[in-house]
Amino acid sequence: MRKVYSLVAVLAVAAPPALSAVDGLAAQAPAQQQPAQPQGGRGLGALGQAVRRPPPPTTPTPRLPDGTVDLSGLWVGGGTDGDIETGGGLKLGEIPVLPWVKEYMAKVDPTADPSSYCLPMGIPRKAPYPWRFVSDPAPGRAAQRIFVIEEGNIHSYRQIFMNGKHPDESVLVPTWFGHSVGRWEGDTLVIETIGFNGKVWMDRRGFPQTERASVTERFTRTNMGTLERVVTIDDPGAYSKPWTVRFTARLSNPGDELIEYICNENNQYGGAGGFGAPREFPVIGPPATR
Amino acid sequence: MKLSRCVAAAGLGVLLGAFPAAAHHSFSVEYDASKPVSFEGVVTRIEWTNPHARVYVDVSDAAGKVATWNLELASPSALARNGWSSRTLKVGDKVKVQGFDGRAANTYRMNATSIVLPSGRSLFSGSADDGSPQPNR
Repeated sequence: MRKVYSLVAVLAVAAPPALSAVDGLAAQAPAQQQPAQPQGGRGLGALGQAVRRPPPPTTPTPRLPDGTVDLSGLWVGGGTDGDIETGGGLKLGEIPVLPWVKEYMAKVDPTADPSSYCLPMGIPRKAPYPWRFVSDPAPGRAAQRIFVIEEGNIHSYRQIFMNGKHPDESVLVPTWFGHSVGRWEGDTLVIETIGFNGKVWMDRRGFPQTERASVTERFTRTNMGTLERVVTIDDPGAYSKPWTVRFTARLSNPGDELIEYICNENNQYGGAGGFGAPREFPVIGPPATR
Repeated sequence: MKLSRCVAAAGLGVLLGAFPAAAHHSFSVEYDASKPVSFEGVVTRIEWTNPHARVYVDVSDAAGKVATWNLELASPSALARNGWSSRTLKVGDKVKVQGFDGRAANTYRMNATSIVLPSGRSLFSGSADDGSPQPNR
């Protein structure tokens, strides 16, 4: 087929957006790293997933009848997908990787990210889609479990056992999201998770999370529309010391709800790039152990 | 329908701002920011599916040969939050399309950044948050 080449600069400029993107990247870029865009302003220029959202409300933190902070609401952000290091408030090179991780990441195949094949992003990685906490048995009563319901990246959930204990290592089965126990420390929900399967990429750059990882999250709703999330990753299998990243989730638009996102429905990943799916998603670790 | 394919990246830097980020997959492993594509064509199929909605558009070249382009859009949930629905576009609609070509040659797959209806209404499409270049507006 003979193709006619021409400049489309005029068209590119002349096609105005139906909506101006405002803050969609708040989804993976926390407020302190990427200031909120002015409402109706030039915005981020992103299409598609850049969803127009007004500034989140700044009224006081809501509470349940027993005084516990009410975490309900549809949240956006609170984690990053692209780069956990800079997205989490660190400088490039600040994550204390072990030598094998540096070597591993230098050679990592960017097409092999499990999440692109509709596998979980794990913890603390976040897709740019909304999510919410749901308590069991019911709001207003002491929760036995808190669930995190994720719209994306694959319509998944996390289960946090409140005031619970981790199983003994001898019976703990490694999983993508691990085993989470939670507790309140004042107005902060603290979640500790172990039992990871070692397959997760913690961001698109490929920071690994080994089976030895322990992740501690601290969620604090500082006002109606803002949820701070401080995450400490202690993974002696990949990092020389624990390190901490900070994110901010914001309340989504009034009336917004979770929308079905069945990732495997029609995943054509690789078709345009000319590569196929890897045949397996390996447990990541130093070469000597694999 | 007339196909015009733009590979002129010269003025692109003025029009588009590089943008770091994320989504279902990285833009750069699938698509080539140096290969913008634009054409007019007819919608032949719509897939309101995850992880990306897709629109298939038949495009004729100067010799009358028809190619079917596979347009990757954002997720249905993101599109819905931006005012799209599965019924916004219809089979048979004539559209003007802009986007970026796939890295693999001759796959007729593109990351769509704009779809314009004959009425002039411009629709969101691109699977942003993926590191793709975005119009600086």
